[in-house]
Parts: sequence; structure tokens; C-alpha cells
Amino acid sequence: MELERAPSLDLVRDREQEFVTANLRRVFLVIYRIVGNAADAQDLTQEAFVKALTRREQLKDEQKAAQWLGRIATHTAIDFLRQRKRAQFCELDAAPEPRHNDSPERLALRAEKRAYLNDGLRLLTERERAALILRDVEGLPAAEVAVQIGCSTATVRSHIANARTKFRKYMRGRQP
Amino acid sequence: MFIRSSVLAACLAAASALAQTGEPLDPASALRFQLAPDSPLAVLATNLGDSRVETRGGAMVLDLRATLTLRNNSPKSVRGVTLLVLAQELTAGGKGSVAVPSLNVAPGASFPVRVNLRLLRPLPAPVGPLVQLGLDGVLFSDFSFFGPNRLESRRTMVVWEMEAQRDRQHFQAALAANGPEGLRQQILASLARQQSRPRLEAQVNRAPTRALSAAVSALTGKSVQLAVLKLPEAPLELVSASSHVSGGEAHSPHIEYSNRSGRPVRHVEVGWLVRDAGGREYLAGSVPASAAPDGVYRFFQGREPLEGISGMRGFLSQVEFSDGSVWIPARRALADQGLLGLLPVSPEEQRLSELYRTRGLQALVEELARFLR
Amino acid sequence: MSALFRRHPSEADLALFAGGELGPVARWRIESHLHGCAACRDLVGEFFELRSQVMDLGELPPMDWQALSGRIHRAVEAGRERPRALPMWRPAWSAALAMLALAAAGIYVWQQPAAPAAVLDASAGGVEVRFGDQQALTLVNAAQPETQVQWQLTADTASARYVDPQTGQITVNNVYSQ
Repeated sequence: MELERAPSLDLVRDREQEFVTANLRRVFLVIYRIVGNAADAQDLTQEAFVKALTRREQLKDEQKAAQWLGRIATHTAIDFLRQRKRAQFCELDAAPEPRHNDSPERLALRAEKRAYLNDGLRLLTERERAALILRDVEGLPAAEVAVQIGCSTATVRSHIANARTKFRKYMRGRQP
Repeated sequence: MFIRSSVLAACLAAASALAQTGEPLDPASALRFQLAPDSPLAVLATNLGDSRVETRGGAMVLDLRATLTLRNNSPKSVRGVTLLVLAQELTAGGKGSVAVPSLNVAPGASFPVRVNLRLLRPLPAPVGPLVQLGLDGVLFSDFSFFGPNRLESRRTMVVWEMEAQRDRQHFQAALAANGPEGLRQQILASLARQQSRPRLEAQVNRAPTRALSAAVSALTGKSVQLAVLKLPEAPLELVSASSHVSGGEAHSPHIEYSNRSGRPVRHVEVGWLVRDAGGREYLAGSVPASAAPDGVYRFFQGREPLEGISGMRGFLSQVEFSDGSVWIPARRALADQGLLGLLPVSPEEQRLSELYRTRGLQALVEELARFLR
Repeated sequence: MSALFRRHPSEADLALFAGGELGPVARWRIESHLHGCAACRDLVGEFFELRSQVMDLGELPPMDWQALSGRIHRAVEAGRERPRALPMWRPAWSAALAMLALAAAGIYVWQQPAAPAAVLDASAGGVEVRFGDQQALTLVNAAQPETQVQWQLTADTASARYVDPQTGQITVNNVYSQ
């Protein structure tokens, strides 16, 4: 076993910069979809990174650090919802990105689709919502979703199944 | 902060006004045109117009609305040009091309090419030009070609030029046989076909994750044999074609063919027709005949997903031989199989019908006469 | 169908089957049932469709990422400890931990999702390639009537052909997913 000298502060800052750049959008997306609005998601993203970056030695292993950060982000978002008792959230906190030459009809269609997907998320519990986002949007394996949410794999499968079943019923109900 | 749905409509109405965002491109630094020293074309002018660059997410969005003026410095007429437009090649969305078929640019003449593309570059912004333009190929009137051909533009432009000659001959024959009124009837029939051709919209997904879904969806979908349309004088015979179909989604067909020509073949494309549950038929695309299906197509009618695919047909649409020669179906063969109403018209037919629409019958007659001289 | 597989699986099990979350035995049982049951196949198809719709939730709202990144770094700096006077010697356990992490990752390798799909989309309004949450859209002049735009789509390329109103020429725009 070798002993190594602690890194300089500049090196630490460089590693932190890389870590934030590499993970910022992914973490924000997960939190945003769980809590439902960008302003809270920004605050919580900051909180998650600050928690992660105070344990700098964890950053040495990139893959482990990314997983661990994801766990912190998910817990932070779920805890936020529980503490604020926000069962509902508001969608579309910003106008959709204007796309060149997109007709108002096309923009409306995209916004409408986002709106009804977000409406569906309201029907889920915080953990069901987190499980669905992490599995079907982030593409994490079920076992990893369980680690991130903090429950057994069997329980997370149950959350995923409930989420999909509720969502399917919701989308069937919205069809003309 | 959030916007309630009641305010959303107002935001959306304003969204189109927000379309002009971002910074204008600096002509001096944004674009670089790279031409080989012996290029038959020269760039006379580059006008960036209202091209813009803006940042979205982690990417730079380059909104190009440029007009290039090129000059034909060769001794031959130019029939087609393909330009490569490159922002970056690391991720999807950074590469595009602009092709202009159906040209007839005499030696020494100049002509415009519009570059109307949106491309992506990941941030941070690099040093150097944001967009590089290059010549992928020039096709001349004698079917000779110049250019690196990275985008296989030679084959595409040869097909276009062969179709152009085929379809011009059709309209010239109508003019010769029945005079201007005979020509008018044919061009009006063409416009009617263009208007009424049934159209599908599509998405194609070439995701590795689809391997898992595809393997499992094999249990929910079914393999559908394409009915093969035999075209006379086709150098290859389509032996079988099948596609895995699930609802309104289909994998690109797996195609087997037999080479009757005795000549080695470099590239084969098959016209792929799908029939919906109501019996209406559409052209899904012209797909390369490859051993493994490489895309999953999802079809839409307007904004609604296509409900079920009840049948499919396939026909040989182009063959490129190893010696560079190309085969395309004869117009009569397509008409006899009832395909003219399903296929898009060739670029030349589109140009001629547009000429008639905007400038009238006499202009069309004069244009056709130019190619007889 | 054998009596063993005649009983319909629960909706929850079919939802998990569609997502690939079931173990091999359960998966085999359901596959055997699906061979002879169109209703359950339809239901599995709905769950497949649902999964691809849910992926649209991956679309990000407009964000100033640099500003957010800056906030994070300022917050970290504000909470940073004073550097110690003496260098901190720590055992280099990182190699051993990396080995463990790789071994753990190896268990998941066969389930790891690949990079986001490249999706090509063509319609009369234009052609688009999306890669994850990024989009590139070729512009077709909005004044073009639908019938004047003709498109073609393969797994790698989306093409839109139209008459450019400025030059009067047939112009073909292509975007590539690779």
C-alpha cells in the first residue's frame, strides 16, 4: 500500500469543475422531474453538489462518485417533497424553447405533450415518480435505482410496476 | 416560478416572436470554405444573411441561412453539386449537406446555393471557424464527377441526373406528339399527383437500447413478408423481403436478391411501400438492401401514429454497379405497376412543374427545347 | 397453449416484462404465455409505447448552465475548510476501491443502457435529428406548402427536398445521425 500526498487546492478545484460539468445536467434533470419546477430544482441541485463535494475523497473514483451523487440528488429531491408536502407540482415553469420556424401549432403540441406527461407524474407517489424517472428516463438498472432511492430491489420493482400501471391507465383515459 | 396553463397560450403566441434569438455570425470567422486547388468550382461570394448562433443547454446552435455564389470554372456544364456543411463530427447534429440537382450551369457561369441548416456544436466553443464548408461532389453533363464523395453524393446525383433525362424525355415526347396542349396535360397530371400523393411522416430510431426492446418486441410483433413487384429489365431480382412489424412500427426490411446481371454490384436500394389498416398505401422510403435491419421506423399520419400495418410491398429502385454505372426503373415500368402516384416526382420533374406553375407553358416549352440543342 | 401458461400474468408483471426487469424464470413463463395470448401481447405493446413516451420527460427546460455551475462553485468555496499547515497523508486506497467499483459495475454491464438513441424525424415541416436532448433541425422555408416538401429517411440520414424560393432551385437538405 502506497502513501500519497494530498492534492493541491488548484487540482481539487479542477477536479470539482470537471465533476460538476460532467454531472450537472443529469442531476438537474432527475431533480427537476421529481420536484417539478426549475427554480426549486436549481436550489436542490446546488444542495446536492455541495453535499457531494464536501466529501472530496469520494471523487477519486469517477464512476462511484457519479452513482453516489445520483443517490444524494434523489434523496434530496424526495426529502424536499416530503418536507414541503408537495404532492402536486406545476408544469411548464418556462415557455418552451422557441424553435426556428416552429409554428405556434407545433410548439403548442410539444408543450401539450409535456403538460400531459407531467400531469401523469402527479398521480404517482414521490418514490414511484423517482423510480420511473431513474429507470425509464435515466435508464438506470433496477438494482441501481434501488440504491439511489434507498430501498430493496424488490420494492423498487414494485414502485416501477405501480408507476407504469398508473401511467398507462392515465394515458388511456386521456385518449379521445 | 411557473406559468399556469391559462397563461401558456399567451407565452406560445409570443414564442414565435422569440424565434430571432442569439447572436449574428461574424462572416470573417464563422465560416470557412475549403476547396481543393484543382476544384472546378470557385466561391465568388458568401453572404451569411441572418445566420445566427445561440447557446442552448450544453450546445451551441448554429442557425445558418447563407447564400453562396459559386462559379463553374470547368469546360463542362454542371448538373449537380453537393456541399458538405460541418460543424463537428463528434456527436449527431453537427453534420449536414446541401445538394442542388437539376442544374444546367454553363462553363464560366455562376450560380447561387442556399445553405439553410441548423447544426450543433457542444460547448465550450472551439477556436477556429464554427462551420466548415467543402465540396463533396460536382456532377457534369457527361456524368463525370469531381470530389471526395464522402457522402456518396456521386451515386445520388447520378440517379437524379438519370431521372432528369428520363422525365425530360417524357415531357419532350408529349410535346412532340401532341403539341403544347399535350405537354400541358402531362404537366398538370404531374402537379395533381404531387398534390394528392399519400404521405406519411416518420421517425427512425437506431438506438442500441432497441436491441433489448427489439428482442422482446419480437414476441409482440410479427414478421411480414413484402410482396415483391417485378420491374422489367431490372438487373437484379428481389427474391424475398421481410420486415418485423409491431403496431405502427416496422424495422427496415431484410432483403435478399439475386444478381442476374453478371456484374458486381456496389449498392442496391429498394422502394418500400406500407399499407395501413384501412388499405391505403404509402411510400415508407427507399432503403438500402442490407443484411441486418438497421432502423426501427415509427410512422405517423399527420400527428397520429399509424394504426397497424396490414401489408407491405417492395420494388427495386436503384442499383449501382462496381464500375460506377447505375440502373433506375423506366418511367413506363413505374406507371405500369401503379407506382407513379405513390412515389415523389424526380427533382427535375419537380423543377419543370414549378417552372410551369410560376412562369407558364411557354417558359416550360422553351426550357425543354434548351436540352434538345 | 399448455395449461401451465394459460393463466394471464398480472398487469404489474407485464409492466416489468416490458421494461426487462424480470428474472429469467418469470420472463420465460411470460414469454410462453404471450405466444398464445394476443390480449397480453397488446398490453405489453402498450407498456413498450409508454416507455418511449416517458423518455420525452428527458427533455430539459431552458437553463443557464454556466450560471448554475457558478452558483455551485461559489457555494463550495464558501464552505471550504482552511487548508491545513501540514500536508495530509492518506493511504492510496483508490486502486483497491476502483477494483471493487469495476467488479460491481461488471454485474450491471449486461443491463447497462447504451448512449441515448439518435432519432431521425421527417415531416413536411422539416427534418430533424435528435440525440438525447439535443436537436438539429434543417430549416425548410415556412412559406413552403406541404406538398412542395418531399422527404426521405433512412437509419442514418434525413433528407428534405424543396424549391428554394430565393434561388428557384431544387434544394435538398440532409442531416446525418452519424
